Amino acid sequence: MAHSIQQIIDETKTERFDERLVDFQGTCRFDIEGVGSYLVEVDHGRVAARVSHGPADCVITSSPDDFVRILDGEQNLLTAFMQGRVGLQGDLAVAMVVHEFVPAHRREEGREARP
Amino acid sequence: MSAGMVSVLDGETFAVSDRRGDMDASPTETAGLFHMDTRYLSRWILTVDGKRPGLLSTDDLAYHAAQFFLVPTTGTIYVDAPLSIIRRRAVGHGFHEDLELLNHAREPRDLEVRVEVGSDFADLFEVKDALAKKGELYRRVEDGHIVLGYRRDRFVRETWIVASGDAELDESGVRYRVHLEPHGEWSARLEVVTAFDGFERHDRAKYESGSSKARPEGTSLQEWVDNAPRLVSSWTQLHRTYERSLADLAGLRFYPRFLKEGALPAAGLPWFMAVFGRDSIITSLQALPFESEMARTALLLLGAMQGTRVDGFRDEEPGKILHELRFGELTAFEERPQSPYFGGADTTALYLVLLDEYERWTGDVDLVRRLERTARKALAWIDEYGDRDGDGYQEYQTQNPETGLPNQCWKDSPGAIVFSDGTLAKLPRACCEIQGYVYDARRRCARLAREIWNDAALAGKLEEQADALKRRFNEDFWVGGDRGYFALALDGDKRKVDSLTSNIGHLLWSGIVDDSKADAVVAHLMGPRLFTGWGVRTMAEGEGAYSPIGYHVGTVWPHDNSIIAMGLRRYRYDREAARLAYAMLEVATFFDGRLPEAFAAHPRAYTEFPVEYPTACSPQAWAAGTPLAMLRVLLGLEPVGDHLLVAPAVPVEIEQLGLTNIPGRWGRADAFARGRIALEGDLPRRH
Repeated sequence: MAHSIQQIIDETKTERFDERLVDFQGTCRFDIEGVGSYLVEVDHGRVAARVSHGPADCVITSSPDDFVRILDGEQNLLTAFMQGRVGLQGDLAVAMVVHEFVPAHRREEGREARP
Repeated sequence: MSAGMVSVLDGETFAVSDRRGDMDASPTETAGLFHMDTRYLSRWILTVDGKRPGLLSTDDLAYHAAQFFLVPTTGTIYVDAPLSIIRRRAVGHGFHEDLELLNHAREPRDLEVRVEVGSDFADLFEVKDALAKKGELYRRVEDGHIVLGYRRDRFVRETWIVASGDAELDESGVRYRVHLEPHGEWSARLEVVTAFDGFERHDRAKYESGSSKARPEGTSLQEWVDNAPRLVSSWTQLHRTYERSLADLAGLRFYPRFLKEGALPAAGLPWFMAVFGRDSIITSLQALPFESEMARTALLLLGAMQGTRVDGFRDEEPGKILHELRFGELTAFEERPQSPYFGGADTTALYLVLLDEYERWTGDVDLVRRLERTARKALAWIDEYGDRDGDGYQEYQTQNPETGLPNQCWKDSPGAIVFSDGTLAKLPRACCEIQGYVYDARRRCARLAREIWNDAALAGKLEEQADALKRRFNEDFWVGGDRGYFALALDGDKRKVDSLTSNIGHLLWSGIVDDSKADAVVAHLMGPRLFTGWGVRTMAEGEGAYSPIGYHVGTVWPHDNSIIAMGLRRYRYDREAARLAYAMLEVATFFDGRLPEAFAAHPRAYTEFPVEYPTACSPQAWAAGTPLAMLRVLLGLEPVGDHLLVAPAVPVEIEQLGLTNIPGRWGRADAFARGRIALEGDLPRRH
């Protein structure tokens, strides 16, 4: 199901703990064209996000459509970079990890069920 | 890549040219400047007064830089040239090339120097499958540089060519009109920049003034060699093989942009300079007694990119370890699934084997703790997804029949898994060696669970699973009667795929073979149907699909033999291990110390030398790792607790063999041996 940008941002604002990220630390900012920027911070399992244009380990620039498609899991982030659909500044590894753990993706964990 | 080519590389960028330094790509000649799976330059040809100079010599001893010493051709076999032409090239974000002309004559000279340029922006898969490009190639001259470009929608790749001094630029090249005084000199600097690669923009090549000041990413070749154990041997040619293996592995180190530091082995030059799960793991295993950083990086990177979801296009499943990662055009547009692709049924178990083996050698408990979750997810994948039908065995069948791999074992060519009569095995296939790897992975992870993760329950469960698997495997895969070997696989109908193949040697390495069956397995491996005298064939002579030049159904693969040799030692067939290791090291001497990916399976007595087989990669990582693994086999190197056990099995043909400064959890240790094993006699015997 496609999510709206606002839904994704609202749900991410709630700070939470994700055990899968206990070894990870990094920040990733999404600059959404015509909408604004929001920053996701992961600090050894603690995941928090806020509307901010602050500095980050990596910055992903995209259209609103691509942003939603990526976070809904419809568009692979890596191929979006390669195609030039999405811009990247900074650490690709951080981008790859962080985008996996924003809310739309987390909901899709149901897909982990056996086919 | 043909043997006469020169490769220089740095990070994810490498240049392949002929020995004059020219690049002239063709369907049969893989030359050019490559970056992230795309060819940024397919034509780079130097002419002086319209003629291509001849070669005096090439210096490519440093893997990141090369020098080419040239003279004008005279049309005769004699070189009596009044002019020297020197090209110095260093790779990094493209390459930098210093061009130098020396006039040796007492008269002045006027010359036209030109470099022809061009790029096809080819992707590996276009070259492999002869596909046409879907976008638009363009070229122009702007702001003092030549732009070669390719555009498809928003996918843009550009090569910029910058030339120093009073160069005349046009869309096809760079021209200098050179005046040389008597005994005068002239020089120019050319830069080829991989300007847009989809991730980064570069305005300049990485190094500003040629090879002398260039420093590649990571440890230098000299540091790499200095850190490795020192070989001591009376066999002089072995030194060449050892040095070449170390240099090739150094050159194949790949600095993935997914990690801040560390290198892992790419599979091979030129088209396999990419992350491959299986190849990186096997090569890291082969090299562990010599260098452990590659293994560490491979574990971290492959762990970080472990599968998280079910994605049929990429054959991805939660916990699975990736097979291949690419960045080329077809991958970008999802016309190929390598972003990354997870179509390897053995990599997840091999990953766990490497994790344990890495800790045994290095004592790096922290990394094993750090990767505990990764390992648990990998173990869960083996149980939940690797075993597709719940019969206790690992099976594979791609969910992407269009562009996925039909064979997801190391013998991944389409016709590799066949019955003795040559008919293709039905999918899903349960290859025998993968069951062995899983057995080994469970036993090893049981140790890690007990000693490091403090989880005795998991250890107990894994040991039970491993024991049960071994018991059933030795019944279900055994081809009995007078044949006496393990089937290559079970097919989709659970029938034994009864070809006799080298895979049975991997079973020895894994430890899954019952002691009572080992004699029979070894007799086959060292018998005339499988052993050529140079090595063990991938498939036995006489099988329906066998051909001495069949890619996975005949040819001899060095890395395959290194695993078999380690298996022979595991089951204490020391003489046979020594024979195999010595034969493979002999093979290397026929290839100037660089083992090929594979060679033809003609009997040794028939050809008297190993017959080369044309393959895609040279050097290839696990072929380069093979001499290292064979040295381990000959010296019988095994970590035991905090000590290095040395139990040599060296043939009398090698009078003296030793390694000093072997790194490990013990610090540094030495191993010496004298050749005492006579290789006469054909019957396998335990020692």
